[in-house]
Amino acid sequence: MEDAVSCVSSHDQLELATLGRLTRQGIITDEDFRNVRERGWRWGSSLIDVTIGLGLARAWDVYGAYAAEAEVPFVDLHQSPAERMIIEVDQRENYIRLELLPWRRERGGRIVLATTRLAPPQREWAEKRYGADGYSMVVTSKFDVLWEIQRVFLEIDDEEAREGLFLRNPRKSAKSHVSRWQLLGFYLGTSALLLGWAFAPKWTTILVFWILGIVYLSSFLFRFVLTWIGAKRSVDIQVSDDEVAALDERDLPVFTVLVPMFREAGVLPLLMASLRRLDYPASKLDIKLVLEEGDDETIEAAKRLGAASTVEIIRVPKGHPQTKPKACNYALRFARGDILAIYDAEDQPEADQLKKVVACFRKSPPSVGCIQARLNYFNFTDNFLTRMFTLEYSQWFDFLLPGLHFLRVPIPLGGTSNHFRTSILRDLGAWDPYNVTEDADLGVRLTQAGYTVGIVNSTTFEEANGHLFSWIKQRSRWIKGYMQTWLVHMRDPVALYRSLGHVGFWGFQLFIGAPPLMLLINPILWLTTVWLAVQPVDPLKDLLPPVVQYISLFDLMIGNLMLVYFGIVSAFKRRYHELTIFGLLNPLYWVLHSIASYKALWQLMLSPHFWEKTEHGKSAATKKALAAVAREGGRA
Amino acid sequence: MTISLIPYSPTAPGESSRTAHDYIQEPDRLRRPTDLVVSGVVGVSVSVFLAIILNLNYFDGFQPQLLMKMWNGDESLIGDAFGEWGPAVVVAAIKLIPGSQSVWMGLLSSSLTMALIVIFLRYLLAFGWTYWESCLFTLVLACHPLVVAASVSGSASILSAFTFMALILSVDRLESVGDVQSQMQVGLLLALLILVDADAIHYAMALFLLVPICYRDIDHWRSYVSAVMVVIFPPLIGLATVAYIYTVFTDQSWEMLLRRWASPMHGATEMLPLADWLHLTGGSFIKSFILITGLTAVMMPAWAAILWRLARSRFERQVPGTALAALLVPTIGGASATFFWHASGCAPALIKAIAGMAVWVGTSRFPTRVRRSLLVLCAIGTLVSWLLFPLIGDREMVAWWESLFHPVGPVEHWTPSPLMTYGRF
Repeated sequence: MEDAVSCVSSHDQLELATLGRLTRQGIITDEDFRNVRERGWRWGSSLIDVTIGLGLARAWDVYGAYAAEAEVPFVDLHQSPAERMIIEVDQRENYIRLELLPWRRERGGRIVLATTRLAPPQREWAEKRYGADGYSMVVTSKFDVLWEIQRVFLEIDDEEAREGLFLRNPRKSAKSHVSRWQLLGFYLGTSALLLGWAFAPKWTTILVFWILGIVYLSSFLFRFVLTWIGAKRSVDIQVSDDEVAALDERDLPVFTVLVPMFREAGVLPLLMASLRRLDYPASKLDIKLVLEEGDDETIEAAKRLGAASTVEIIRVPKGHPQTKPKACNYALRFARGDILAIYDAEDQPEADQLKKVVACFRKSPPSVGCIQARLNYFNFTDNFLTRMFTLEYSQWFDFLLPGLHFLRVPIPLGGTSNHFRTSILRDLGAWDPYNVTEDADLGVRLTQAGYTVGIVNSTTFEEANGHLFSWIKQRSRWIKGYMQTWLVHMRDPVALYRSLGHVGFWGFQLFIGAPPLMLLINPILWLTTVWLAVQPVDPLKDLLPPVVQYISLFDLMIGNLMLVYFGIVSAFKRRYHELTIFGLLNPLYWVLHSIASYKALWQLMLSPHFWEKTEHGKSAATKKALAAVAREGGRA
Repeated sequence: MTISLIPYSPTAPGESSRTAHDYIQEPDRLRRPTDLVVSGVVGVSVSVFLAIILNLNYFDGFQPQLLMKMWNGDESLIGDAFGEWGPAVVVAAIKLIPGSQSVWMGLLSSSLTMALIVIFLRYLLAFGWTYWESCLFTLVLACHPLVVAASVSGSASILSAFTFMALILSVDRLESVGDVQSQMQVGLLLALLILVDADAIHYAMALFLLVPICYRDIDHWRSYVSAVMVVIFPPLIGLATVAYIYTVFTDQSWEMLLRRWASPMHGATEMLPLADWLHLTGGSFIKSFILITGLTAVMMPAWAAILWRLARSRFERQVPGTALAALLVPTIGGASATFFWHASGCAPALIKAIAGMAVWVGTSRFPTRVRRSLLVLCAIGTLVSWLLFPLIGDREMVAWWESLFHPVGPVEHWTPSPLMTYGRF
């Protein structure tokens, strides 16, 4: 370590001097000083980034000391904003990457740059841009640079966040979700069905039962295959603890973490605690709280917690649509990391998740564009709904998604804990702000572009929605989003088939297209079954050909009961043994799904882009944890 | 203090604490041309041998009664076979082929036996048996009269044995790999076994006792209940489905369904006087258990070697699941199947014991001395079984045996088992 310190460059010495000044000022202690030096060497990071990342000093103080040591002025961009005339739109990426901004023009025409670093990369860029004598530099805080860039490019960034995908490829955007051909197809199909029932009821009924039987049978068989694959042990293990331990922290990339929040001030302390718990060099974490303009409550709460000194706060401008993907698109512009992750406000990722993701990316081919962590719930014992929700998530993330990954079928990403290669995400046009399950849509677009999604053996624990009405709101949004996603990608089925291949195409139909349809049809079939059961003579027995009857019986008995079985197996794999028995109650849970599906259909027709907000922080477990965080002074 | 809402330490779901060892993957050496040639030679030899026996039976006019009932589809007789839905489906499928005959069932089951023997041979090669050892062992096993009888009769026995072998193999995988797939595999194969053979419900009960031994991650009664549910649910689905289909398509009562399902176990009332095993054991579990254990040890001493190996080998005791499954499930299941005054004989239990022994041998690595001892024991068992075949006391099987040596008609020449003299009746 001594060797490493002895061969530092002049800029490193400047940073060291900055630390010395902070120590003399009593802002950090001698122990902090040693700690920062040791970690800076171990992480291969700037000492300034380490100091701020560890939360040892406010960014304002650190950059003030840095400016003083460098003997350049320290400016407050809030008080003295940049001149707009000298800012170039096409240099936006460089401003963000290098954390600098043209600030003023001196009398002689020299440009004054406000920067966070007086380091070689910044100087090289400036010399190339303005010539060796064409610029001078002042220092400012990195949060100020970000804030100022946001302010200057507000309208452009907002426009791009909302319309970027639509302008680039309107056929992939859910801004208009039903095409003329789809409407015509729906009209013709419905008319044919009604006419068929009017003039040839027997054959129409047989045909309908045939189609339904095949759809249900295929869907069940597909789920069985996915569950079977997901149950295999070797599918689970992607990154071992040894591989995580073998990672050299100096080589770890900068990791951007986006946390979109809206009116979630309550869970903010918990979020900060879980982010602090992440086992990743703090200096390489580019954490961004993505807050909505006007959500003063959350913004103030973040300030009160001192979040603004360690994480960046992105304020998303108001405007339609007000959705999470739009907020993420907006924040993506400011991401500096090579890898980017999304977390929800109440998320509790396992501490080594980011390292596992890095290791997973390193051992994967470049075609892996995204790594999805598993999701599960920490409050599953709250009530019936949270238990069933947990079983469902266990099946989804522990069985179905690994199965899809294995078969190379598009994976509908979970809304959180997906980790992207940032460059790929940008190339794809990021999220569709008009799709209310933008994650599922993005998973399909990734596959269409030739990328794959990996599943990492790390779990993020969330808060299960345990309130019935809130659950239905959330679920109806998800189902609506699946409907949107299916409609968007089926605008051109031939192109979809060509891009996904045979297995991918049919997997898409069975995993994204069929479930909403089945949820809508289920109540009709349940009522039909009950009605048939009370009839003295089964009217369908003589009507339907034997093969249709066998398929229907298979779907009814083996299909449904095996779906119940999958719930039991899911609890077993997660070792949630107290939930095993609840797997038997899955049919009751399906009823709730069907209720939500009708709400989703209604909303798809009337307000397709409306984002129904899910409230968090309501569970007993969350409240208990929040109280504990409060007792620890917010530093749990 | 660290406050965390994460409910347990970060281990991957389904991850066992033990090292995975997937026995099912074939090592590279099996892809050598010699392995393929040896497999081919053994397969052809077994086929020729079974074809000769089948031919002898065919010209003698021997016809397995249960198979004929299924084949003829006689409503008054089909009740005897109703619990064996799997074979009934196979029979129905074969009958769809124009010009099919009942003897095709014998051909089909013989082919299945040949396939099983070849798979077994490849397992032996994979686990270090030499060419001549593995060839001899498989050929001797294929010559065992119980294996031959089950193969050429075209009955459910060989299908049942095949499913049972797969089941024990998945028990072995459960113990060695310990993932959820192997747990599901046990459940699904158990369902298949019950659909193939109504008696299998008793073997299932014996197997549940082994679940906590095979699945080491069971550390609490809840995890045990959970593991048993994973295993028991598929058979329940199978039974419920058959029950539902039965009631939908036949409009008969549930009581009738249960009676018909249990018919292979209980037998039709008029058949009870001919249920020699029932007469012999008097419905006593202990007596059945002792007799089945003794008969198996005599007819296949290599099976008894499992016990010896368990006593001698520490490694075997550390992973005893497969050995215990091969040792106990057939005997406990077989005894239990006769406990409730069922008309079933002991032959299905003996065949399952041989199948269990084969899986145990095929998934274990033995030193040379043990391999050769097992070979000798298997040969002795085969020889003794041909000599003492009537001991099993199964009228149809003994009739088959007699037809081979006294080809003048099956039933007339049947003589009671010498063991019958110890029976109650």
